[in-house]
Amino acid sequence: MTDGNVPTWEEVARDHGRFLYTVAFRLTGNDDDAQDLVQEVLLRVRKGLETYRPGSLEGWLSRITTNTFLDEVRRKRRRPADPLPENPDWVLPPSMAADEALAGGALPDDVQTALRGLPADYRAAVVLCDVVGLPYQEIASALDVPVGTVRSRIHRGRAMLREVLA
Amino acid sequence: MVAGLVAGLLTASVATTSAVALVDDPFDRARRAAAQVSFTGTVEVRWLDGVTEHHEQLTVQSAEGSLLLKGGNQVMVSAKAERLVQHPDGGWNLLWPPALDRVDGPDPGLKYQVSEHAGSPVAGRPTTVVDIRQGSLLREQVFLDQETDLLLERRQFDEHGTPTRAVGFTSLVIDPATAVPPSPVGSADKAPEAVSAASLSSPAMAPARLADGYTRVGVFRRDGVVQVLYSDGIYELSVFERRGELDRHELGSTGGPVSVGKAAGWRYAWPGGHVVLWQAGPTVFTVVSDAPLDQVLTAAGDLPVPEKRKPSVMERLRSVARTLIQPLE
Amino acid sequence: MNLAAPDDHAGDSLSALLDGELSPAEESAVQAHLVTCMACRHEMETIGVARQWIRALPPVEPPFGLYERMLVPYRPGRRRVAMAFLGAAAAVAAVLVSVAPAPPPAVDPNVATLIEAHATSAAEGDALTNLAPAGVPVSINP
Repeated sequence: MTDGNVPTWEEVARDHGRFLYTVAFRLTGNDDDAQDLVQEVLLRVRKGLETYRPGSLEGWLSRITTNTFLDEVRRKRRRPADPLPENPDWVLPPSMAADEALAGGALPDDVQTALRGLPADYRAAVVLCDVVGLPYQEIASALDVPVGTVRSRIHRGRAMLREVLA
Repeated sequence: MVAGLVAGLLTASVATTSAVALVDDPFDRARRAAAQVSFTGTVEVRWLDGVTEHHEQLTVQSAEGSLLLKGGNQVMVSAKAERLVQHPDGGWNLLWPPALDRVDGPDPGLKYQVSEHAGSPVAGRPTTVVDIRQGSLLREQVFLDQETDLLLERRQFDEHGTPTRAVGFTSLVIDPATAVPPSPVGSADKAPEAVSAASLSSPAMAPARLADGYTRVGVFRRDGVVQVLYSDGIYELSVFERRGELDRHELGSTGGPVSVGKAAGWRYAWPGGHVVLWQAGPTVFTVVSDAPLDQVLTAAGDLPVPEKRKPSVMERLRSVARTLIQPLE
Repeated sequence: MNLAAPDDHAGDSLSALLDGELSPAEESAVQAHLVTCMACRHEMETIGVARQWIRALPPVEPPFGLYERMLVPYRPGRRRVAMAFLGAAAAVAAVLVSVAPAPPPAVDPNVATLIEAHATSAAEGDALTNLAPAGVPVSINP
């Protein structure tokens, strides 16, 4: 993305689609919710582009994604499940890494399941740090909490994950 | 689709050779005619893309076995059976050299049944139409000029009987004095060279046979890309493998999603047939074919899925070492 | 495991250390503590493993067509070259942004080249109807 250029939302969807989906999937843990989250995020992106000041686009997108995710969680509202599509066209091919063990023997699917088991606030902090790679200060802005809270949520989230996967 | 038994349209035969032998292959007839008859004319290509019908016109000039087509691109078949293409902004490219090694396709009679009757006129000329059926399903109609046996039009139908593609003359002038189109010299950068299937890095990815009667007739390397060519006697199907990420922009705005075996893919139409693409691990599979879409998907779904790459022992050791060392840094 | 770190242990500053979020002074202090405290060294290894596992998660592929469905009608981006005509060996430039390092290259050559390769390989049927479609320039993004 050209610095100083405000992208169109179609460009955001096309050029950062995979990134958005990865974050959404790591936060929600399943394809249906991830798709819903991405669509909601893109709606907000569309509205938010007017006030977007060029800078870290991924940071901005991550903030919107996490806030949208947490809004959903706080509202404790589950979207009604879409009826299963009639044709199987949308079934993903098996991911290359699905059964390739990560270093130390944890399978990505197991790690994702464990992530999903974390409380939403912890999960958001861990994803922003270890999936998106944001520094604590940006995570603090994204979640609207002090840096100290970010640090402790990340730490506890990791500890819980390790506990579950021991 | 298993080739049905010979329909009652053909006279019964107990010969072990194919049923097509009783009715001369319309394409053989057309090829012989084109070698002997010189002509010029206008040809129209029509194809269905979703619900939109497209059509393009080209001029054609043919004499002594050389053929020149002029549309947005120019296409040339030389007397030596080379095929060259020129784009508006570039020079000629040799895309098929003379005497390239490929075997004949299977006998079309194994899969198709052929019959003929008088047809409606094409370019103002009376025709004989040859129906090519797969079981009870009409797949193609081939209109031959009654006077010269030249092929005047081909029409293809999908499994619901909807015409999906046609190439045919809108005007034709038979003239023995037609000039032979000059043979251009093309760049051979993208020309194929034949390779043996066994020499591929993963020969299992180019099976000798695919579902629905498609037999491998050639394996080529062009400009770094492997092309495996299959034929069922009437249609052909190319499988290309490219390493990398499927660019979603190749999917374009036309066409739609499609299942290929267990993979999620994308398909769209081009003037001469269909394209199906899907990502399987580190590889993008692209199938290009002039066959009807249902056949393309059946055959493509029969392609083996690439093996998942397992990390080597050294890679695993390194990963584990990194994990152990990092916390102490 | 006791998640609440007693005052004399490093606690969540271990995560901060791993993430490079400590000031030089804080970092020295924690390192000094680690030299003498086996419990904290053990905790750091534990946290480090979890951190690695999450960082090693691969990017997740959206279902095919997810964005195409959302982007209606599709409009080519400003930076995108229309694929209507082939130059010699044009490489497709688009690479999706991904979280993983060094994504594989976009696939090359583009589909229009492959379509032409197939059309000129055709031998069944007759030359004219096989090749006439190759006379129509392939346009993927009309």
